[in-house]
Amino acid sequence: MTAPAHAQEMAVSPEVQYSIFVRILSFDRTLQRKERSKIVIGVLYQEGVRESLQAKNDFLAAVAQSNIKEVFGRQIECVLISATSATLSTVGGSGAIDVLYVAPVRALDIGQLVGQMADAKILTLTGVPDYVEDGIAIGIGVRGDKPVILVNLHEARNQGADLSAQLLHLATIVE
Amino acid sequence: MKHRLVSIARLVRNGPVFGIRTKISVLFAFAIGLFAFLVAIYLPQFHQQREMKALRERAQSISAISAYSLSPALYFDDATGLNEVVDAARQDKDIIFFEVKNNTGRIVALRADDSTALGIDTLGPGSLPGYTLVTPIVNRGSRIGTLTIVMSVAGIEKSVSDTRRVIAVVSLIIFVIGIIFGGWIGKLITAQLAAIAETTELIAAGDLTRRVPVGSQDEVGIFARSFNLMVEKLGTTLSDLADVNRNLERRVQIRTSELQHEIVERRKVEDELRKLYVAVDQSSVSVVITDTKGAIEYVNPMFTTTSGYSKEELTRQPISMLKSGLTPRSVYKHLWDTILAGNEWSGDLQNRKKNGEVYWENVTISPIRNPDGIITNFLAVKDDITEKRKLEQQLTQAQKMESIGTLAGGIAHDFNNILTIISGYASLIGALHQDESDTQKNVQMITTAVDRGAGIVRQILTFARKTEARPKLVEVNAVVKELSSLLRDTFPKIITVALNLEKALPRIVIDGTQLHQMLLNLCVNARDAMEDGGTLTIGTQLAGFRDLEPKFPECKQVPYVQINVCDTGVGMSNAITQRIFEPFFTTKEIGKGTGLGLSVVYGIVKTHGGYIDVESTPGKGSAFRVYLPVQDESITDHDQAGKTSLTSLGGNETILLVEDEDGLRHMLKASLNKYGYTVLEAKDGIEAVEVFRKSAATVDLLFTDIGLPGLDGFSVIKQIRSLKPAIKVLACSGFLNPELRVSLAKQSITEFLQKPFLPEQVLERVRHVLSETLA
Repeated sequence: MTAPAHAQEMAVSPEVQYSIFVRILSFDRTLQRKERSKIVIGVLYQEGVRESLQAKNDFLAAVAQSNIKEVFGRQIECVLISATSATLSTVGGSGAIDVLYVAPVRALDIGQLVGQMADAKILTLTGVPDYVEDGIAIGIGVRGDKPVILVNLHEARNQGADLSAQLLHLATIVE
Repeated sequence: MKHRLVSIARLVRNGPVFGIRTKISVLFAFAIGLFAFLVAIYLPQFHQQREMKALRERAQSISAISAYSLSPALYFDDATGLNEVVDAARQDKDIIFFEVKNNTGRIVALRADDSTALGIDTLGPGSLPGYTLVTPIVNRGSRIGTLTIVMSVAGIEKSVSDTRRVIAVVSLIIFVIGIIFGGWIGKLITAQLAAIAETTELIAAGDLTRRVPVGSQDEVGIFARSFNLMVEKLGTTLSDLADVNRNLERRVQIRTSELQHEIVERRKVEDELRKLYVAVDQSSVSVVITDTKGAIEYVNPMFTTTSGYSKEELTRQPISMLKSGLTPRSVYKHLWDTILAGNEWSGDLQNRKKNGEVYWENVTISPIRNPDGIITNFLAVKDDITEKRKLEQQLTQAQKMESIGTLAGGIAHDFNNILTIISGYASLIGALHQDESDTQKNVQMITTAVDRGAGIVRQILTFARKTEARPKLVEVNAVVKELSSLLRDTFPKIITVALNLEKALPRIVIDGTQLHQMLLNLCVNARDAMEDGGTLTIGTQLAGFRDLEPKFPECKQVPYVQINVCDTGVGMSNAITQRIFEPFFTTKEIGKGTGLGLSVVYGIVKTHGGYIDVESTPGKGSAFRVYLPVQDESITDHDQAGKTSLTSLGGNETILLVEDEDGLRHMLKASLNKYGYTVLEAKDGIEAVEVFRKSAATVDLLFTDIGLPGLDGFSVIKQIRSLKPAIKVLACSGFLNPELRVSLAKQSITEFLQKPFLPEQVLERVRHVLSETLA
């Protein structure tokens, strides 16, 4: 059980995060095997948290502005999910999203969130490196002035991801 | 040559057993076959090796890529990733086995063909037919597993096999084509060669207008053109050669003529040289050639005969080896000074033979110069003059003896006159004083002394051959035998008298008394030489004139009776031998001999035209050899001349007395006057002729001395006989030798009176001549 999250600083901008996440997703064979016409990314944020709202906005702007609109030939679509207890429980069971992006949040039980996503086999992503240690499957950190992929392989496999070893070979595995 | 060319052409045309065509075909076939064989052997191997290399490289590439791809999948236990890589690798059909093991050895991925997969656990990749490659899988520097792949080689083997089949077929085709092509090429070449050969035959036969057809531009064509060019040049050359040949023949003829002339000249020269060589080689004089140092280079046979040395012993030896030491050094110095100055030297040398004998030679040495005028050799021409020297010595001796004889004869003549005067006047004194016994005794003493003196004069005259010999035919052996009896009786008994007489010895004409005296003198001389005893041998033998010629070249060509008187006495030295025949020369004590014994022998021998020599060795004895000529036996015996007995010593005839010795003339006139003769006097020949002219009618007898001053006795007789042929002549002289006897005979002077004589003898002979005339 992890402690509730505090709003954390993101290591890289949402534009960079988006471009990296799109490529990471192409290494997930589970996502590839899903027979859906779109790939839906859920963007989880908190209404009252400025950093979270900013992150949500920036991420959406990055998606809108990015040239990469498809993965596995499927359209990428983003949906906003405000972080409340009710929404969190429904998101996991509806099957409406394929991937969940977690913006910086405060007082949100990441562990619980991770458990719910694992049950729903939804892969989680974040721009806050510390959240990867808390159970988010894939995050973006920074080493020096270069971004680095952080993978919590155990949680990722719990969330149903079948990541290519090629990706893992490039990423930093967080235990 | 032509026949050979024809044969070659036929061979080229008909194709020889192993011709060029066959050779080219076989060579082509062999080369192509060899090439095909090598290609068939090497190419599949090369192909296989190249394929295998490519396979290995591909396997290594696949393995490396796969291992790299497998690394994260294995590390992250990405089964899907593993399978993806395996599936990707299996896309290559040559990979028949693909296995991934982790570090624990567990197989985490495997792909294999159906045929091998069943036994994979038992067989393993090592038993699979293919190329196996095991590659480690590494992640972050650590080995995390292994990848084993097996690449199939079946495809390569099939490819190689297919290649071999193709090559075999292609090689066979090329081989056949090669044979056909080789044959075609050979035919192409030999056809042109045959044409060249045929043309060559015709050219060889002399047809230089023929040309080889130039069928191609290849080497054969070049050869044909070259050949044609050669034939063209050959034609030109032959033409030039013919000109040269004609010129050469003409020059050869000229040269042959010159050579023949040279050969003739050379033969002449060679003949002359041969004659010269033979002349030198067979020369009776010695020829020696030396170098300028005197080393002998050549000697002719005569020289080897003379010196006794062989050619080998003389060659390269110094000429001085022949020196006897008897020739003065000054002679040799002058000799060398002369010849080294380039002049000729002549002279006599005394050299020594090999046997030690010394001989005389007359030598002429001339320098021999080379064409540059440099003296290279000396030529010595030598004549052995030993015998000549001996003869000269004999001649000198003979001349000396002749001179002594002449001198002695002259003295004896004068001495005879003196004795005649003494004797005559002594006789007159005796006649005038017959009653005085003392006077008679003194006259007798004078007469005895005159007789002794006359005896000595006779011996001298005998030596000087001035005595009158009375030669007759005598058997020498008989005289020798008679003498030997006398010798045995009178000589000491310690002396043995031996005879060695040749039988059938011819008689000789000689005064028997003188022969007896000669032998006696020789034997007495021998006796005196053998005071201690010994053997006296008297021998006779017949000798031909050729036996005498070497010693006495002037000897007559008649046989000679040789008389040898040899003793074993003390002998004589050479110096004594040289003087032994000189009058009054004696080695005996004073009073023991007159020194006239051998002189008388010499005179007797010479009187009879003979020769005498002596050979004596001190301590061994002497040998006298007398040679007396065998003359015609028809010679008148002097003793046969008749003698007229006189009844009276006196007469009244007129006598012309010619005598240059005044004393003797006066004595003769006195004696003749005493016995009734009228005597007209003349003291020389001129006066005699004048006196006779005045009284020719009254003069009955010419009594003249032969030896007269001015006009001699013979001339007087001749002139007076011309005035009065019937005049009777009585000649007188102190000596009468055979020559004088001959002269008298030629002048028909039969009456001769030898001095000294007594008045009675003169009267008796005068009376005899006048009486004979009257009768």
